[in-house]
Amino acid sequence: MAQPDYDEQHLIERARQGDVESFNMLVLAYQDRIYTITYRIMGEPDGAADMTQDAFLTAYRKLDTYRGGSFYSWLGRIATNLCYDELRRLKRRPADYLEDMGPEDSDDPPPIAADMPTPEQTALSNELQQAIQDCITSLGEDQRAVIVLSDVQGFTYQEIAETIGANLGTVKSRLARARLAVRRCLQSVQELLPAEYRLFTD
Amino acid sequence: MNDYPNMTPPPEINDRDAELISAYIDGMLSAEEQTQFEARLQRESSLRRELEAVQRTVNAIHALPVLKAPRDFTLDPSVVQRPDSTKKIIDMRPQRRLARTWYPLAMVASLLVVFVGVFAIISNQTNPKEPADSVEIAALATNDATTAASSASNLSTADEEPTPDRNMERSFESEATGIAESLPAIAATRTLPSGESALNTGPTQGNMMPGGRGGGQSGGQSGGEPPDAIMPTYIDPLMYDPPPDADDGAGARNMPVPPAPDADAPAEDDVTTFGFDPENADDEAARTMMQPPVNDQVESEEMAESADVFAQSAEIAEAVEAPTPAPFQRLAQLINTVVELLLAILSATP
Repeated sequence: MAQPDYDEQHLIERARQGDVESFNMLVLAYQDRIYTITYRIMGEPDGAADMTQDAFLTAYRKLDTYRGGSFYSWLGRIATNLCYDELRRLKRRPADYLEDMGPEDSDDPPPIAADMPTPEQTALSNELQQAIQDCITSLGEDQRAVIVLSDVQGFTYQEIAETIGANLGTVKSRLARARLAVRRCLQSVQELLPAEYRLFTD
Repeated sequence: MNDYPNMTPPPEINDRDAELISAYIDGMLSAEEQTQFEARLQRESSLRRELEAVQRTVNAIHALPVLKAPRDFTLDPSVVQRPDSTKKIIDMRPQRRLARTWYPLAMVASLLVVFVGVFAIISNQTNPKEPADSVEIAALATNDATTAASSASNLSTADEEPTPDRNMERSFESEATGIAESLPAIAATRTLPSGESALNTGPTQGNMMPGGRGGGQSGGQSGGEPPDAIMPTYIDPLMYDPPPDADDGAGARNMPVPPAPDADAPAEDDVTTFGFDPENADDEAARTMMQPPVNDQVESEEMAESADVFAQSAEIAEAVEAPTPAPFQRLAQLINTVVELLLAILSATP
């Protein structure tokens, strides 16, 4: 992981001393990427926004526990854990799940991409993006968190293990099952996509 | 040898191969594992196809765009303070999450209101009321009490021999009175399976009072306890049906009890002395009803007074009757109304 530059480290130190404006500069710098993580895990915009806000509040409150390294990875770890806990809570209380992710939420337009497209991103149709997201959302919370940390956030196995509190073997097997499940899910829905966007050949 | 021809559908990949493919993509296999896996890829086309499909999946997920945050998640400096022990952070999340917490509290409060209402209704049942069938039974008990009292009067006056001992005669009257008193209470018992309040209030002490009269009156407030030797013959077995699950107190009322040592006239002595035949008690009572007693007018008045007391005791005993179906219907209507109100509130809540 890249070391934080001086400006970021300076903002973190000032935020630790109670400077909320300095912390808000960090929020503005990372809120798109943190929201992307929460949206990929939660699968719907309202819950993702709640988790993003919670993540920054928690990060501000726990700034003293930040020990250096990638501040984005540290924030992403907080956001992922919050989403993980929220998904488990919703699983225990289906009524809250229906309230939070009811039909009215499914009519919301999908979030738009930030102004940082990559060549692969421009090639990926909106339909395929939504199909991938739906396949990720169909996973259980354990596999969902792992595949987002690995393939969206780019975490190493060790970082994932530290984030979710599991050993490397669990991370390896959980990620393998998640990828296989998404691969099968995409293959089952790719007939609905234009031929040029199909991932797999028959 | 493990390669499958193209026309044969590839088998479902097992968990071990899925882990090898995933770790191979991430470069997480050991050198030996990687060598073995690549050797298999050379031999197994299905494994190659699966590796390619998973690699495409990982690339597609990785290619998902970074999304634009729907709003700024900056913290408000006026309400957010540093997380020292004396400072706090105010949650600025949307009200939707607060409502999620508020709804269960509202439901609990509503249920509390319902329970209070139920408690109020149940408490209301303890107020004296006279349900229709209770009055009917009380009337029957009063008739029985009157009959028994008249029978006692008849028995005490129909004898040709003058009564040598006035106290002995009084004792017999008290026994007859006690029997008569027991009837309303027993009648009440038929409609009051747990009628402790109707039967517990001191019939024994009443019979233990000198002369028995005081016992009859005091017991008349809630029904008296019958003398043991006579009671079975005065109680119609079809009418007296004690609850099978009655406690020992109720059971003790049905069992013969030794006469009180300080009573003026023990029951057995009375029966023996006057030669009272319980089998003819009903006939005597019937004759008494046809032919009013001509002797000892004072005793007749006392008997009538006792009958009135018995009737009052029956009414009081019925007052603590178990709830009749009507209050339950009111309770059901109340619950139904509250549920409908809650549903209306919930349906009106966005």
